[in-house]
Amino acid sequence: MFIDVSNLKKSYTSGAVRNEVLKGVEMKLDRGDIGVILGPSGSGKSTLMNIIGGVDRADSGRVHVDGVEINDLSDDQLTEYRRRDVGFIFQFYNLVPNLTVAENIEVVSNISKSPLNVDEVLEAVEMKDKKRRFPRELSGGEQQRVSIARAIVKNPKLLLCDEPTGALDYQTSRSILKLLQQVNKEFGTTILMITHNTAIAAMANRVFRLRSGKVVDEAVNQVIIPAERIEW
Amino acid sequence: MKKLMLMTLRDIKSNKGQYIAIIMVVVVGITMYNAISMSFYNLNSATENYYEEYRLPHLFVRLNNAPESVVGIIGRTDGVSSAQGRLVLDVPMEIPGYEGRVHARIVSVPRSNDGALNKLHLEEGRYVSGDHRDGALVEKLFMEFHRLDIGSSIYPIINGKRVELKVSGKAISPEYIYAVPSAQDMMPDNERFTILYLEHSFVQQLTGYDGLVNEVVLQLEDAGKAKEVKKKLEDRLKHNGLISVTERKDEVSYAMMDTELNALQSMGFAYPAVFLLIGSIVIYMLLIRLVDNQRRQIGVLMALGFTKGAILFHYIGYALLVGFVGSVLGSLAGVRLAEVLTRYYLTFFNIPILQVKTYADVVVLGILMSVVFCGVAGFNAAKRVLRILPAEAMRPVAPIEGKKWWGERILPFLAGIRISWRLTFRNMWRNKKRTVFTVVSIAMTVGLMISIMTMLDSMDYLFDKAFGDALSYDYKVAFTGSVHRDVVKDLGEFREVTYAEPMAEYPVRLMNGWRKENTMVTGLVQGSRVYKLFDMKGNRVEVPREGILLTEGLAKSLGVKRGDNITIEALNKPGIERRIAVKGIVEQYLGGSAFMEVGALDAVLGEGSTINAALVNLRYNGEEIAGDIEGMPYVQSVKEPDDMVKQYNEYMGLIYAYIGVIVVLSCIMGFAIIYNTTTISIMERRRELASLRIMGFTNNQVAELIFNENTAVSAMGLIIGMPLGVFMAAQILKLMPEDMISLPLVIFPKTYVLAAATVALFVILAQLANMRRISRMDLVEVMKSRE
Repeated sequence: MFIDVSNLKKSYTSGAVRNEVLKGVEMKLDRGDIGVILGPSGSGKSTLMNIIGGVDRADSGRVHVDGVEINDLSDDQLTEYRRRDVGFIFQFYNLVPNLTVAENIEVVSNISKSPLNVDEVLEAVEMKDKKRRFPRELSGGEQQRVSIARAIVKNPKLLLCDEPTGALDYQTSRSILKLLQQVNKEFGTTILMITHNTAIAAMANRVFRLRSGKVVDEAVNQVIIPAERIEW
Repeated sequence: MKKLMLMTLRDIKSNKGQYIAIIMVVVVGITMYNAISMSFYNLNSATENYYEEYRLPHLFVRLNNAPESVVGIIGRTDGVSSAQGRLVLDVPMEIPGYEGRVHARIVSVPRSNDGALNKLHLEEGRYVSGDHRDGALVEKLFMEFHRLDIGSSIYPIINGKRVELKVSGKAISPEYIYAVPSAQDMMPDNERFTILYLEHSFVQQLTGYDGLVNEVVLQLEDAGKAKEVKKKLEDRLKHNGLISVTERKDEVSYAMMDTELNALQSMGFAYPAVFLLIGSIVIYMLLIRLVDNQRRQIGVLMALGFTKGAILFHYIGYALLVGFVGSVLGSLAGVRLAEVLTRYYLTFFNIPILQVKTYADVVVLGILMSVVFCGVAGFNAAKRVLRILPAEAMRPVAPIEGKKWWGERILPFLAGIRISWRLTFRNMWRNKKRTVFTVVSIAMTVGLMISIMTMLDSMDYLFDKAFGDALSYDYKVAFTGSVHRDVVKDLGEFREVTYAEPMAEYPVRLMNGWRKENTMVTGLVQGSRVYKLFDMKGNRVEVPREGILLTEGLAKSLGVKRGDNITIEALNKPGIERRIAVKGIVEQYLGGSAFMEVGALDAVLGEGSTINAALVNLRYNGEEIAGDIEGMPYVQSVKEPDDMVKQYNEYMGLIYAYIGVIVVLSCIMGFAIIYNTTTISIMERRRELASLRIMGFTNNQVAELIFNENTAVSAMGLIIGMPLGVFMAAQILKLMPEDMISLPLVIFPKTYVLAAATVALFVILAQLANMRRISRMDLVEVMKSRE
């Protein structure tokens, strides 16, 4: 099992109010699979992803990624884990505005141990011809492509996507999803994706429905639909 | 409005580090303003009151021994309100238990101190009248140095005879606030020079000058007519053995005090202004960020019905609050520091009636200045509020526009440097205004530091130059008055003396049109072995047979160059004025600003083969014979170059105190600037930095991006600050008393290195102080929303 989450709990305290966000989440995902987490706002999707990505820590429970217990890692080890094993794709891209497309990718490739070739990655996301542009000069979809390139350049084991199409139109969203599926196939990268959009679940191997901090439903898709055929 | 105030306070609380840093800059400026201004007012009012109450004369008439009837003649001159005759003579003196040489100036005083000119202030003991007629009043700082008590014996040598006198009191005279024997002596020497005040007829009896006086001091009905009366007296006394008539302003003590006060007054405004200016720049930068950050909140407030004026005032309020709090704290610190500085001054100046006061007007003006400076900065930053439309403000801000900066286009190699540096330069370019402001602030801080440290360099240079190459005599022997130059031969009689050469020093006024400078002209022999002059290129120069050499500073002040003619007027002899050619410009070091051949000087001043000093070299490993030389009847004092250094260092204590205060305050300010810029930079880029952290950048790698920017900005500030410091140093040197010492503008490389090291330290400290912000950055929180 590549991702093995068991009885994961997390709560936040704000002043006198304690908010239990995750109440014992169970989740398993095989290597090379695409997992989709569905759920309404406040269900704990992002928190779960942040903990799996080593950006946040759980209060209790187990998070094994590729056999490593994430929750036991020190801050420095978590940084190393994020650098080596995890790629992030955000809803709002979070590109460095003062770096060009190529530089945004290089900056991550520079800190990686065995990065992929930047040009090849740019080729893969079809952004090679725009590599000298700055983020402001790109459309949302193009920025998300760069964001994907930046995430995969370090050749991560796991790609975490937080609403990757949330800010994009239908056509662009489909092309981004297609690209993710392609990355999954070509590089064998395990992908865990958060979305509101239930239609996207069709392209996943496993679908988890989260509600009020618990996985209320888990489904395995026998037939994976190619992203370009998904409609909503 | 109250709620807005609450918001202000909460905002300040959540960014307290930054606000404390800005407040510190304001505190520093206002502390300095209050401390220096109040020291100035304390000293100024003290000296003015002292001169007034203790009746400092307006004119000093010096005569060859003249009958006392001359006092009546002078007293009856039109415009003179009172005149007082006295005998003044310089004698060697012995102090029991003290091995060194002391020389005393005996000044005769009237039988009654009440109503006397130059009235004495008695700290202790009794006045020299009645039973104490044969006692001596001794100058206060000298008594304190030698721990003399009332009743102690002192032994002046008068006419070759050792006379025992009992100390009857500790006195201070308005004539000797700055107790130096003559303008040739730059610094007071409380160890070896003092003034003894003896009853007038007792002095006549001791010296055998019965019925004679050699000085008449006088007060005028109208102080503004000093020049007029001086002229009258010069005419009237021409044939009565007149040596000179000097105005109060040309007397050494008065002139020194005046110079000191002027310097203090200029410093009192110049430095604090720089600090406040920098403070306002920092506030401006901070508020711009605050307004941009709170754009959405501003939109909401507007939508809720708050007027733009109210919101504008809310943001100006931050600046006003900083200005007010900073100035109140600065005033408190400044009042205290003023007291310390004023008291410190008193160790150099004899002023008995000093009152250390708090000047409400200075405090109020300081607070007003601060509030205005900060308010203007606040308004300029906050006025962008007026341009915000509520609906627009509530929409997300447009993403930052990234682009290459012109450097990358012009110098293609810049596009190939490390990405972190590319990012640094682009960020600096993107925030041009802030970059410029930060660079300017750092440049000003560096300028302040360099300008003030240059003082030390210039002094060191002067000493090195003087005692390294130029001055190689062992003793400088000053005679009691003008003596024939053959007297130098007498010095050669001493077995230990290997070489002696004549020298003369006279106070003169040099004039070129409306430009006038009072200075000492030094007469040297051609080919002097012990007093060498160098031109600006470092080549040895001889004093010309005719004409005069000037130091660069003096030549500049007079606006003359080689080949020009100037007028030289003797200050110690009335009516002597000659035209003389400037034959060259020489380097300045201790001792003089104008040089002539000793015979030529003599000819100009009409002395007739006379000198008033000699330079002496001793046998190597020779015995100390200064005491023997001083025992010679016409010798006033014997000084070694070391004495000058020692005295000088003592006097430098005062300057060191100022330099120390300004350097420390500049450091605080430098740190505050960089700390603020760093904080602003981190807060603005927190999303970018957080995303890099999520990508796997370590805290140090993220910090490096910020560090690079600080380093680049600071390096630019340093590069601009260095020449700025040189410029500022030149301005400060102009405030120095030209006739006492004119400092060359010298900056040693170590000063630049020190300034650079200090700035590097600020950068590192600011970085360390901000590391927590980076390491504690809440990645989840930052990533949650689009800004």
